[in-house]
Amino acid sequence: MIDIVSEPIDVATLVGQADGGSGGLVLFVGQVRASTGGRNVVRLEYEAYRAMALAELEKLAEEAARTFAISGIDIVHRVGTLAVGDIAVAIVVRAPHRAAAFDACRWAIDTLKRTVPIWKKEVFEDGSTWVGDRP
Amino acid sequence: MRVRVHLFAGLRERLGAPEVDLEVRDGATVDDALAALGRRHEGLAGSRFTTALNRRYVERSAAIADGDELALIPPVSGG
Repeated sequence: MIDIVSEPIDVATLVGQADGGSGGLVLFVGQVRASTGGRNVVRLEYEAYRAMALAELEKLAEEAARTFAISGIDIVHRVGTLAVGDIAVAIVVRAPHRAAAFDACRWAIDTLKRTVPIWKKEVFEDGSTWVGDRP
Repeated sequence: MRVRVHLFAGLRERLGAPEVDLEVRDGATVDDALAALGRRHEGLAGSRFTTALNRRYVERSAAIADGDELALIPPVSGG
């Protein structure tokens, strides 16, 4: 499953999907950190170019399936306003053997952060900033 | 011909709109559209972004067709 959602991500449902017995399952969960660079985070605001972000996630999943010996990959990213501790992204990779599942999951989150048009604004107690944006 | 420009994150805030419609000449490239947008919005100067046409990353030399969807993609920060 590839999706971009506004509601909380239910990791248990993602992990619990019937898959016919893959062998190994690796789960990556990205949560909102309490502080960045020594500043306390109040909330994060995520924004996506939804149509393109979904297309890029689909491409990413297809490339993962071609590159690694995995049997499946699910990626769900949340957008909107998130509080500290909320889940922003979840990736589930299933594979017959653990090495491919770990490798594919690491590659998937690294690639997502480089290529998928999603942005986050960090809102601190004393200001806010779009991450990576230096006008 | 007309092209709709989609803006996001800091770029959207600096230019003050999520979408801008531009008129460009036939045969215009992404670069031409960016030049036209830059003349209308000072906030574009000095901004870092890549470009996408109809939801695919493209070089700035890519040709635009009437009704295309151009997006300015500031450095992404998902995850």
